[in-house]
Amino acid sequence: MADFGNFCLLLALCLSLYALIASLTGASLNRRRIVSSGERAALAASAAAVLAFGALLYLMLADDFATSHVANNSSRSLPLLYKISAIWGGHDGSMLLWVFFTALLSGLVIVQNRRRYRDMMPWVVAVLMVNLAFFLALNLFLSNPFDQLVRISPDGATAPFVPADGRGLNPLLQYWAMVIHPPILYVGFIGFVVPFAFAVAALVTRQQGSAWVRIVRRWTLGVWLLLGVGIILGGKWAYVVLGWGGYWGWDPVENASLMPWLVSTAFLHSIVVQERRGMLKVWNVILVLLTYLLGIFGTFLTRSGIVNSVHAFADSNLGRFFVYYMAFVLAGTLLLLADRQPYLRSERRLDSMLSRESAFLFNNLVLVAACFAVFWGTMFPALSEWIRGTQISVGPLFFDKINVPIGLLLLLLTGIGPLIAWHRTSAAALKKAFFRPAAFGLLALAGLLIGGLRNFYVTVCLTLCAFVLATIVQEFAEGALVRMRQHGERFPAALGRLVLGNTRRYGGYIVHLGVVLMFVGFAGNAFNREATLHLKTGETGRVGDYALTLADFRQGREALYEYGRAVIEVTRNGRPAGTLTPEKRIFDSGGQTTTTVGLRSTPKEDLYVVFTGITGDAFEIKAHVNPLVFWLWLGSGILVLGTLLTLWNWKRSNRPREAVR
Amino acid sequence: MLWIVCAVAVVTAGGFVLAPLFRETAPGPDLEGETERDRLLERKTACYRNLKDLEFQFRMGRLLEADYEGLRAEHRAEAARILAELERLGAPGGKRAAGGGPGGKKGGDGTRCPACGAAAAPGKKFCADCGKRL
Amino acid sequence: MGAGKKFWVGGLIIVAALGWLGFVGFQESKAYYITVDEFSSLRGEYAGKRLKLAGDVVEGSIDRSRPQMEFVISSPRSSIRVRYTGADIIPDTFTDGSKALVEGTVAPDGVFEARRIEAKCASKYEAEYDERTS
Repeated sequence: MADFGNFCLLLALCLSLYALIASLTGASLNRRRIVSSGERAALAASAAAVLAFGALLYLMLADDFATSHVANNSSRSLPLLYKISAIWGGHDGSMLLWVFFTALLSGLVIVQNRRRYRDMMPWVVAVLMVNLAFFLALNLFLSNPFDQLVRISPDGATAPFVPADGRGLNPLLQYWAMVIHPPILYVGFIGFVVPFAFAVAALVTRQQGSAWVRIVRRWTLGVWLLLGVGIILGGKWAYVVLGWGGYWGWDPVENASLMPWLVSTAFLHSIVVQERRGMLKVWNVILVLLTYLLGIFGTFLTRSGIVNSVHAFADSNLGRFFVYYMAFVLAGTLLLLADRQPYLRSERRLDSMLSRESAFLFNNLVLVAACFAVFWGTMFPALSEWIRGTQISVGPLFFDKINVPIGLLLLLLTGIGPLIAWHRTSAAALKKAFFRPAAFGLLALAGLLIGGLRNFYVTVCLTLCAFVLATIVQEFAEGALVRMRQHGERFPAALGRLVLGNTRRYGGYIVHLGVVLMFVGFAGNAFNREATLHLKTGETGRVGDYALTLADFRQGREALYEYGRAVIEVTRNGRPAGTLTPEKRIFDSGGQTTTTVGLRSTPKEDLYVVFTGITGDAFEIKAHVNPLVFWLWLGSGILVLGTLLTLWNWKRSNRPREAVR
Repeated sequence: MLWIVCAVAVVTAGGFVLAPLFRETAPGPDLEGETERDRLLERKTACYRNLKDLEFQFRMGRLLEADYEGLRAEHRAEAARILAELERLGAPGGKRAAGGGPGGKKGGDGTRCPACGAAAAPGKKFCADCGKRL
Repeated sequence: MGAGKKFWVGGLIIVAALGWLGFVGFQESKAYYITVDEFSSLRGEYAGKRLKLAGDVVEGSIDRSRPQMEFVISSPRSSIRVRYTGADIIPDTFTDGSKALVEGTVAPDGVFEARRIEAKCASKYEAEYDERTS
């Protein structure tokens, strides 16, 4: 089966190269037959790559420990679900998962669009195939999941080697979010190849219309959603499984996923300006390019070991090839862009600073600045070593210092943007639109100050949250009122039709609402409290309003691990507030320990309890009180719903060109 | 066994991929892109959408009367230019082009808006495209 | 002044402000990232500076009985005693023989006071069979 997997990879590579050549030849000679053959080759390549993934899946499920990837990441006793997720528990397998998704997406794009955009499709296929071929080659030659174990005897002779059992999956990865987090994140990284391919195709064929802009926007939105979900799941995993009390630590791998997200967020905003006003065309192509490159860079960071990180897999020489590939893509696209400059000329100029356009521009500036800061901080160790010979790393403080103001600025723009009209606005109209939200914000500010809040950033953040919340409510309410007047509808009907009539705008506002709630969660960070308690059975310790009593300590065995479990009775201000059972597990394979957190979550605050070990005759308990974390998860949920609403009328506005005619 | 499977796979893939090369050309022009007309129709749709949104923003009180009038005049002028271009390329044929405005309302044989020419469903008091009273 | 120019001026101000914040944050949080060997050979140069030391946790050296945990990390040629003074929970990946990154400064008594510990669940996980793969 391993040989079959290798065969599939090789076949897919050959087919993708053929597809690339056929598409380019067909497009330049304008021969439909050759292009059609190229498209079929691309589909066949995708199918072969999917088969290769199937082969690895089979090996995993069949416990074929002769294959090194299976031996290193799985074991007989592993539950079925984790056997599947063990495919991406290690380095080589996650590269194959990457190929698998690339193939699926490429196939989907071709099937969906080949009858619609005949002039662009050969170029789209070409770009997709370059991308696919690159990853196939990496898989086949540098990071092959089908490699077999061999035993090297002292005299240098080699023989196949089949261990009795595998090493098992790293227990830290045995958690539901870790089963779906990597696949979702990978689609979030690799999916940006589709917008990129369409952007390149549009440039090459000098598309005049906006059909391609629509495809690019929708794909970016969908992929952006997945990337966002991936990031959030990663945060959830860190919070619940790693047990250090937080969900974000500015770790290089976290940063790697954040960067493309920031740039694609910028793109999703600035593309609106292009659609409405015919401006920023060059800028948008650059953003699409950057998003794609940062997606590749994300894999590069996790796979190359160039930046030290808790997550990074073992070092590999893959890094060099990633750098070559990125340089190739960057140079190619920039050359193309330079050549197509006249075609991308702006149709209009910025009318006024007091316009929606200019709010969008600032939003872009700030998002890209944030991405740049994250990039700088992440890459600084590597850069400083390269230039000066010593690695200088920057800590979370750097990221916080620069990204907190950026976040607040963005939050402010989230509120301002929707209130300003396109083109230009007069001060009087602005005053009218701003009056109520600003008043609400100031009211909130007064409340916060009276409530005794003194932290500058938190005060600003919560005030802005109130302001933005009010602008969103005002947008919905006034829009509905207009409809009520215009069509004589009742309020609920008017509101519903308003939203469904323009899901893009109102879905966007719901996304903004989610973001506001997330910022409320972020603000809570400033008030995190923690205590380390050394308790004997029956003793009580305190953190914040909580009293924790260690009622019992149990030890025992499960199938794969031994556990030590603290049973803690919690009271809050004297009233019982449940029982928490934080746990420490020691796994049989490799002696790896994992933490299971005891968590009591309320909208006001999370009580987060970790059992860290035994010191002397006391049990060490770390207890955190993390205010407002609840709102972060709630906000992310709303963000997802809002995005889904925005994607809602996919079919209607994505209808083929023929129908528009 | 493996060799047989692989050989079958190669032959199948090869046949699938190479078949179009030996087929008579499929009907339809080679690799046609969008035409001038497509582009204009798209611009027309976008222009009407912007106009409609402008009107909505005005009703929400986001724009003052003077700003609104000015911007609306600009949009109208652009719409007129696009329509003139379309005219030059030949009269739009069929229902679909007539309803080319946003949404392309069903029941296109009803009344037509005097201001923008978009089809309006029977019984509506206002044009769905530009908001004018019918 | 045109709107375009105004935007660039505003943008420049924002970028400059962010740049300044970044610089300050950088100065406060930068740490020299070196191995234990490099540290031992250039001890004087790094005195008082914030360091990030990379090394392997020596088997059996982890001492949790003191109020503040102590352990020894080593590179091939030298080793140093580390005292953990931070408040964060020690990661699960931190065990005997794991690769650890400790961040902090050298205390007067010559012990390295770490405020943060990162641990990489030893590439052991990947390495063990690797030597034998084809």
